Amino acid sequence: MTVLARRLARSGAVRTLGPFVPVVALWWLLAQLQVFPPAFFVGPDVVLAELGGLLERGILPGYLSDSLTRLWNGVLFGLLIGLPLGFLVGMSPLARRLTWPLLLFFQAIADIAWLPIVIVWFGFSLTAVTFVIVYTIVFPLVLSIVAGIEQVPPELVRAARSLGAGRFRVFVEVIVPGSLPSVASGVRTGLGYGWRALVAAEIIVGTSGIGFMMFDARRVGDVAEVFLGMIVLGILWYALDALLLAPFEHATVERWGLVRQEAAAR
Amino acid sequence: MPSPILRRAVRSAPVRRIAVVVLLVLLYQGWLGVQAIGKAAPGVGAHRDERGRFPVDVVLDFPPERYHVLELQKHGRIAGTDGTVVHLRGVSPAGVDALAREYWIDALEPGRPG
Repeated sequence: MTVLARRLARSGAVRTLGPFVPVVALWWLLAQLQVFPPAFFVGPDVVLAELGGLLERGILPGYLSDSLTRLWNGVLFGLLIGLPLGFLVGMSPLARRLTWPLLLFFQAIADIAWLPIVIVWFGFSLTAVTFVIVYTIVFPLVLSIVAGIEQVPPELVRAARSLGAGRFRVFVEVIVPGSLPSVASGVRTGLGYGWRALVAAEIIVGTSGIGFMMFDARRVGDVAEVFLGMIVLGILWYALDALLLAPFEHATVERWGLVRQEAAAR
Repeated sequence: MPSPILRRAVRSAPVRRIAVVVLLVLLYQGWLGVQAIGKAAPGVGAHRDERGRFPVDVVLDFPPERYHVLELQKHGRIAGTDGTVVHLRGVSPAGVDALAREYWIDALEPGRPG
C-alpha cells in the first residue's frame, strides 16, 4: 500500500463518501444499460439535473426549510415532554406502576396509525404533523431514560445518601449523569423515528415539505424528483446524526458511561 | 486569554463542524439579502389603497408552479398570471421586502391598480 493510498484511507471524506462510490456506479450502470424502463428508473445524471432545476426554482430550499422547521418543533416539544416524563417514571415507583402499561400500549401503536384521527382533530395542519413527531419521539425516549435509571448502580445512590446528599442532589449528581448514556441513545433513536414520522406525515398530511414533494412528484410520474427526495432525506439525516447526535452520544458514553464502568472495574 | 472551555470547544471536531454549518447558513442569509437589493423597480408601492397596500407584478424566470403560487399567496392576493409574471394585489411594504429575498424572483414591478 502506497503512502498516498494509506493517507486516503485515513481521510474522513474518503471514509464517508467511499462506500457510496460503488452504489452510485451500479446505479449509473443500471440506468445506462436501461435494465428498467426510464419512466421507472433514472440515472444519477438525471437526478442531478433535477436538483439543479429545483434549486433554480427555489422549490427544494423552500420544502427543506418547511421540513426542518417541523422537525425542530416536534423535537423541541418531544424533548420537553419526554425528558421530565422519563425521569418521573424512572424514579417514582408509583408513577411507574400507574404509567408503565400505558407506555407499552401506546408505544406499540405506530405513529402512522394516528394519522387518520389526527387529521380529523387538527386537519391538514402543522399541528397534526407536530403531534405525530412528538408522539414518535416521546415513547422511545421515556423507555430509554427508565432503562438508564435502572442501570445506575444502587450503591452509588446509597453512598451519596450516606455522605449527606439530599434527594435533589442525588438526582443531579448521581441519577442524571449515570443515566445520560441511555438518555443520549434515547434522544438519537427518538429523533430517528421522528424523522421518519415527519416524512410519513408530510406524505399524507402535508401541503409542503420533502415528503410532500416526493408524493407530489409521484402523482405526475416524475421519478427523478422522488429519487432526489430520498437522497436529500438520507443526506440530511446523515448530517444531523454525524454533526450532533453521534458526537453527543459518544461524548456522553465516554464521560459518564465507559469511563465510570472502567473505573468501577479497577 | 480564552477560557479552558472555549479552548476545548475550538479544538473539538464536532464544534468546528457545527460552526462551519452555522457560517454557511449565515452566508446564505447574507447572500439572500444582497441579491434582494434593487429587485423592486421604482414605482412599486406608488398606488396604495386606504390600508397602505398596493399591487405588484412578480416577474419569474419560469412559469409559476403550485409551490410558487402558494408562497406568493403569503404576501398578497393572486390576481392572475401572465406567462412568467404573477399579478399580486394587496401587498404590504414588508411583503415587498420578503418577496425580494426570494432568490427565484427575478424582479418586482408596479402592478396595475384596480
